[in-house]
Amino acid sequence: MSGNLYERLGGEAAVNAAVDIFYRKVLGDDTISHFFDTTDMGEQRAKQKSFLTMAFGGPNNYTGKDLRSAHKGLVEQGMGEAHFTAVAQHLQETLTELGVAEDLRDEVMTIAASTHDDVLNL
Amino acid sequence: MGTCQTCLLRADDFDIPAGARTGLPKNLIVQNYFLACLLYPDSDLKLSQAKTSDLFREAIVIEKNKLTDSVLQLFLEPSEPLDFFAGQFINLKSANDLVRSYSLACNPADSKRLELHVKLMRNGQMSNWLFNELQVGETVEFQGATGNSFYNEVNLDQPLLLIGTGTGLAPLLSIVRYAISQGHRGEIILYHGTRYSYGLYQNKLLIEMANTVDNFSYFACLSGGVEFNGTLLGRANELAMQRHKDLTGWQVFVCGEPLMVKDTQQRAYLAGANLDEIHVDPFNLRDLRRRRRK
Repeated sequence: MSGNLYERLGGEAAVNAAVDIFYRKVLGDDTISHFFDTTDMGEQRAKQKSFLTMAFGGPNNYTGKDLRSAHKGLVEQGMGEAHFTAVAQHLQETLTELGVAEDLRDEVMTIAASTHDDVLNL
Repeated sequence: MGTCQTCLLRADDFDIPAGARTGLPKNLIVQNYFLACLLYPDSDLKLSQAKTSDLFREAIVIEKNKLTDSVLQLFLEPSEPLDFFAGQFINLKSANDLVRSYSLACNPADSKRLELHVKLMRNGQMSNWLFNELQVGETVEFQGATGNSFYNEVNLDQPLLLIGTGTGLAPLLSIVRYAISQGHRGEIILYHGTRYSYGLYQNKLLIEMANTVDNFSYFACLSGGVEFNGTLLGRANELAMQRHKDLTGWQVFVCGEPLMVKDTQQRAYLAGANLDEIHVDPFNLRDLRRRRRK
């Protein structure tokens, strides 16, 4: 198969399809929804979209430092390992629901896992 | 961006891209007004500040009806017909220059007879002035219409769910009136919530509308625990969410108390509504405390 991961997944259209499913899952999960609670849902969804774009291997402006500072406040509010795992699970289920092939799914999950230390400020 | 129109400026010597005029009324467009927040300049520009006299237009008070002890229905006749979308609001100015937002409750077709619902606020300078001092026949100034939460008739078959508390009913009433007049074919379901029955200030009108229009239903919801003829008991948003568990493909409009609006937006989204099709209009009130919050 040709092209990078992002292209093979279907590019921006795939991200758009994923973001709605994914955001519903995290908001519907009482163990983590408070970290996503916001007055501006449109803005929050845009954040989810940048995260998914990155996890899909797409063009993004994230650096490890950004991920750290962006999650610092949440870590101070008690965000930890269990919450990271819960989000990862929702991502995995989102991909499954979208019918993403297993090898591509693994690639996405590997990228997501690579953010672990930065997100949790370890 | 582009909603509140407080960053209005005038272009002196350049052509304004269409995007920077989004939502502006004709009278401002012809005077070269634009929104600074929507303009991305790539060279030096010559501009001027907005003139207050340009932003505000005049209207005559043609009718005042006290619908309840705390809700006033106000009809204004603007000096020229006002173009607006159902669901938008205007900024009304008082004699001593206070400015407050009020949603338009009329059908946009009634562009010469604007209807507002004013809630009387304790210690509220504006609402007290409107209730007690402003007289029929007097002239007021207003700006607008503006606001991003409005109905557009792209899909006449789409079901509409409208939830409003208190005078949050006003913009929803405008939407219902307009949708019906446009021949909307999908279901139109309105939940109006207040604490006690006397707060159902358009109960009679809405019951009549529901009796006449096949695809329109109206539910009055009382959260104060006392039942009244034909009403539901509970908060309007709770009842609506319990009764409409799958909102996939719906347009949802929520208006009123900010926390209720935010909570309902989230729940409507989780129930399957598309985020772009959940239109919210939180009524953020001025702080009316005598002492400032710390």
